[in-house]
Amino acid sequence: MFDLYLDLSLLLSTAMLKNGGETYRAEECAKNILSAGGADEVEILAFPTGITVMARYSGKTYTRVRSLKVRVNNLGNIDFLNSLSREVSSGRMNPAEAISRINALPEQKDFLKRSVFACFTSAAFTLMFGGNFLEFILAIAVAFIAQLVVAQLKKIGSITFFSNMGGSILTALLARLCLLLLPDINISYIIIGGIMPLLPGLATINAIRDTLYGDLVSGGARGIDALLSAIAIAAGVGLVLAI
Amino acid sequence: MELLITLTATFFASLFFGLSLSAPKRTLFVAPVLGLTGYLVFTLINNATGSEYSAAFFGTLAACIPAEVFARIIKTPATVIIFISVIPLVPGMMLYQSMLFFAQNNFTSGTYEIIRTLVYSGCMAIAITVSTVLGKQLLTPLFKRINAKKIGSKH
Repeated sequence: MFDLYLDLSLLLSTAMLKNGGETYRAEECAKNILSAGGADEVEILAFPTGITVMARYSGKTYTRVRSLKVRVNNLGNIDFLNSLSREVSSGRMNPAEAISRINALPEQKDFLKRSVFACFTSAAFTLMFGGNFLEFILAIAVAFIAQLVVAQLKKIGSITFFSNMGGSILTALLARLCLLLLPDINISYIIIGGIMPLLPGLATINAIRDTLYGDLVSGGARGIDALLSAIAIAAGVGLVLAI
Repeated sequence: MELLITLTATFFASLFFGLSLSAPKRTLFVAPVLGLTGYLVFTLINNATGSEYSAAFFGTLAACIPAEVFARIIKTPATVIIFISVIPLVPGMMLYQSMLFFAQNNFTSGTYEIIRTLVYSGCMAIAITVSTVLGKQLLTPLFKRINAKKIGSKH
């Protein structure tokens, strides 16, 4: 029975880190679940790249490690996992059911739907920074293609540097192509709108929060991730504008 | 009229951004409204004082502190709301401007713009720090006490 709690704590924390949750939250969830399972002593060490769980239960010490290489941004999953860990640690749900629910979480296959929403985000930003109606329409088209390509690039290389660079280069290139066809538009608004959803907001916020909660290693790692993504986006745009 | 279009666009930008990251449905009204609030505060302070750094600070603060409170009311991680509500304040415009200057070989203006972007981001980071510390030190114990009272009154 305690094995199930161990499995669940490891699975849930890894999923939490994978979907972009904070490090302290992943540690807290695992700790609460193991305490609900009746562990006498729990120690957890989580990083953005993996998690170690140690628990003492009826005289035996259990240690498990799991590493993590792929990271995505999915706010719905963070919220789902958070409430799931509450349910389990308050005893309202048994761990076997929780494990089957986490395994049933949909993978990132709905990229078409996400790309449609992301392209409307870009178009709204184009309008917000002062673009007109024609630029709004063009921004939808440009951002849609760019987001589809970013989704494919993420499958090839899991590091955000690569996919963000491809996305920003493509956005700027497509915007310049639009300028060739329609000479009286302002491509700045289209490009800015296109790069806004790519900018590493979640990584930055998590870096700050992790550092404040004392997870210095996680904070630093996420900070570097955010900085690299921002540099990739800026360099991609600069590259195309300089041609 | 122009401000109205901008604010509507801000709301929908936040909303669609949340949807594209499959945010939970119960945050999809609160978070864009906070995004709108943050951007409105930013615009007002920027117009009144002309200092975009303090405007960025107070704008982010206006988006983040309510987000911490609402996150505890609807029981969701605070990042889920904060991430959606600060996105209108992210300095994409400045980043683009600096890259445009660098591409035109105008390094003086480019360096100026990139430092401006960095300081602006720093101001946003300080505001996020302040709201996180407030949430951690003030709101978490407060809501624990409120929840304990609720459970106590049920029995």
